[in-house]
Amino acid sequence: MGRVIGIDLGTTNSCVAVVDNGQPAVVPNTGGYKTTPSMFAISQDGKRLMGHLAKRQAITNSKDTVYAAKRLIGRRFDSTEAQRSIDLCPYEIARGPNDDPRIKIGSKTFTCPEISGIILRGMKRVAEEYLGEPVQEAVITVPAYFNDTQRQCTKDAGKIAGLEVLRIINEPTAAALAYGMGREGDEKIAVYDLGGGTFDISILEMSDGVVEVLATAGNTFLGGEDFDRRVVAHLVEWFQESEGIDLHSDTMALQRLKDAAEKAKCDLSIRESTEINLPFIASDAQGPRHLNYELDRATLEGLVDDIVQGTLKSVEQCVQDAGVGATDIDQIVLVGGQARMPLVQNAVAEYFGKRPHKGVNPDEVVALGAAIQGSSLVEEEGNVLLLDVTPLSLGIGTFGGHFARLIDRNTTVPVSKAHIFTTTRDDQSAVKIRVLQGESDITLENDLLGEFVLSGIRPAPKGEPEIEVSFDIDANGIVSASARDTATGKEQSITVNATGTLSDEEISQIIEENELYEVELKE
Amino acid sequence: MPGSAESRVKIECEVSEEDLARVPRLASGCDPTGLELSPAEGFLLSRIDGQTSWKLLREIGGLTPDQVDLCIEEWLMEAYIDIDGRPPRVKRRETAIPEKPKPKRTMLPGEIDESLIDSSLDLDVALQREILEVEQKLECDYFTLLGLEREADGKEIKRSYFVLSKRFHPDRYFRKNVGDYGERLHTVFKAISEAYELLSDPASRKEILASLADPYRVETFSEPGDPAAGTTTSRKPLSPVERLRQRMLFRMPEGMRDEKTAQGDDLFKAAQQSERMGRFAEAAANLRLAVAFDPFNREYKRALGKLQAQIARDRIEELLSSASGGLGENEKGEARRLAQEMVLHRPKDAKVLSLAARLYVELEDADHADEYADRLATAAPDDGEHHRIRAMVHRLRGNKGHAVSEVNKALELDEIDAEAKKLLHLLRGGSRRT
Repeated sequence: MGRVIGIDLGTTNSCVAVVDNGQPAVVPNTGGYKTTPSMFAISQDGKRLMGHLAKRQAITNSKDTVYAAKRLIGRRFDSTEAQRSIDLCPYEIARGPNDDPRIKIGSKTFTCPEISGIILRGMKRVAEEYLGEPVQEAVITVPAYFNDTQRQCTKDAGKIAGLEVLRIINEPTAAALAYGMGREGDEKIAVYDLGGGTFDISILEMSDGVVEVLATAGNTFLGGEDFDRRVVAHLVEWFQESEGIDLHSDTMALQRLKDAAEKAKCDLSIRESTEINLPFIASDAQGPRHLNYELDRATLEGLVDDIVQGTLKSVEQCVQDAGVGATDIDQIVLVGGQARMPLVQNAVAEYFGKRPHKGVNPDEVVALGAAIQGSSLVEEEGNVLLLDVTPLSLGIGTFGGHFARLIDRNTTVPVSKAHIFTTTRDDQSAVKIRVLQGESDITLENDLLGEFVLSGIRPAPKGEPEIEVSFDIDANGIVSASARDTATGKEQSITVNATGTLSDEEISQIIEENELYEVELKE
Repeated sequence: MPGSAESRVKIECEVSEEDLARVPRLASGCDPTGLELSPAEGFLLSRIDGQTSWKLLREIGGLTPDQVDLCIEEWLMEAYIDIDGRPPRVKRRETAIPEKPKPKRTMLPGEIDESLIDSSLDLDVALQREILEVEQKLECDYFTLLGLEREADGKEIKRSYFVLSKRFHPDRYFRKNVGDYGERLHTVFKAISEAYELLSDPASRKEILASLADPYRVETFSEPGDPAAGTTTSRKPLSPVERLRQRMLFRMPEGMRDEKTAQGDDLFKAAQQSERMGRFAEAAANLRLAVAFDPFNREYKRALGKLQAQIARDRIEELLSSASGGLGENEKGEARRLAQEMVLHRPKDAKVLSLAARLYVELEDADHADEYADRLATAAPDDGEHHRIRAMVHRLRGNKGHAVSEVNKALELDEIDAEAKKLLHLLRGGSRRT
């Protein structure tokens, strides 16, 4: 069996790492870059491109270039998040047969797991070229706030890429593993992860290689791209005022502005001011127009300050959930490219009353952690142990539309929990157990994972029968539920299969189709 | 059941009437948790409270009379229970029955089943032993499971949890050929993480310490002012379901706990309202739901017990007053059930015991009437009622001499006892006729 790779499948960039001789290391791609853009495109001459190649041609081919597909994966077409992407993205998003968002490039329609699968396949190849041996197994990271469907879709994407996904782990947890490997003693750490598209905050406790997640909070729809958009909007507004030309419906100009905004934002992390130079951005009767703008750090910070303050609300909630005080945190680990911004670092430092840890690379630490988890699973003497938790609460629907939680979110897995329920009508002979996942107290607002009926309850006045309902999650995250009438011993149970948006047949069909394009994906 | 012979021998018992009238009780200092019992047997054991006769156990124990006899006899032999400190006089006939699957032997502490060790697995034999040892500790309290003193602080709890996790987390043995140990590791890890979760939360830790201080704490339905309350709290072992119910509340997330408590409160208020309006059945239904929502609220349980006893009592009184021409078979059955329910909820209430005893006199069931008279004598020794009932019992059994002496005892306590005088008159009149 070959080595297990760790993949950080990011919204904007992806990164792959492997543990080599006990040392985790990021694998650079053939271009020498340690991260690869999570972009996929079909060029005008029909070639399939991913990574840097896809990014390079994005400006001239914005309609057929897909980025930030992670924002859509595992969501329903009608969800607010998907609708927001539809408004923002230059590529076309259509409703799929399972009510999932699908991406249209030319005449071909792609599912989201398929797009992510293509990115993962690219990352797999990067690792294979570096290691000189085939790779079959991977640990892939997702934001802590991903629900079951999003996780399952990410697993499906791995399958499409020809990978066996040993585990899906949370990005902040992976970062903590990478930070904590080889460290001794007890520490409480906060992982502040502000990536391209998502924001996560986790509080973890570690002691001699054991990592326990205390709490997690975040926002799956907030990240560095929101910063870019603010800058783009600012530039569009400025250009309108100074030149009288409206750029906001010009897709090519917008793509150039977006790239320039991202670059300027990065520049301002190390400099006080930067110049944005976009010649021939537009033209009118007077001829071509150029955009030339001096952006300074203070202006940028003014544009995005409310976003940064918004992340601190999640931090506050997380610290409370963890049952600790802000000053109990021993170490702050920053993850994600956007966390390089001085404004972000200062806000975090001010909140916790100490400077963040400097020893890790925010772009690479998640992939390193995934590789560490992969190797600690398969190695004889793994040196870290991750006490992973359930991302969302599990429970059943009860009388009056109330959601009764049996397993709270952030509970360490594997876990079993039981609770006694009763009937609500006299002589009720059956109960329907609806297994749900979510955080709302109202049944209807949570996701239904499955349901079953326990019948043959002996006639009795309401409130008298005792129905013992048990939930079990094993180490692989598989959920099963059972109900037992304590009087008769009669029992019913189900195993809840997390379902992605694709069936097994669809997945194998996609795998077959993609074999044809193997070669063109090379960089 | 503690059967140890190679092929189980079914012991057919013929229990003497004398023994049937006797009241078994749990032997002092015995820990019944070491027994390997089916839920039905556990239920029977829980009914042995030092108040219920062998005969009554046969009826209410949930097993057939034969099974009840067999259990009681075996527990007597194993000295888990005793009867008035004397060995029972039981005639035995032994008949071999086909061998059943061998029951799992109860292991002594520290002893493991060597047959479970499998050296062909990718799991160190020493580690296999360790897993089996921890598995045995699963029935122990949470402190023992984590290897901690009851005074352990948060840091020590966490440390022990981390150390045990490193040893037993299923991920440590990912993809290894571990046979049955995979399932065992899951069970063990779940138990230690439950122990850690509950001991780290101050509220649940407090509950756990309280239940450790009094492992057989049971809810009794006596009212606070009840003079008989608390004198002889019975020690009942908890069934698995009862144990779950005890743990349930503090295992619940706080939001849910609050919601359930609020729902319980609403239902309780609704029940009080129904009770005031005289709608007892409706009140009882609401109270049952209130108890289901908030099983730790003693007030609800007490109210429910009181109400159920009240309903049973009203119905019995109704049956008795309309029974001038004798009760029908159905009514007799109902009356017996009601009497049991009423006494279950108010085991020390003199009025309840007296009503039950009188009911059995009416039903011409001298044995039961006698039993309740016994209990009445304990509950209210200074009242003549138990003498009057004994007199009726003796009269039923045709033992007039004894009956007269009981009436006289009643008259000694209260010389103007009209009912006793009437009884005396009746007994004398009866004797003249013969």
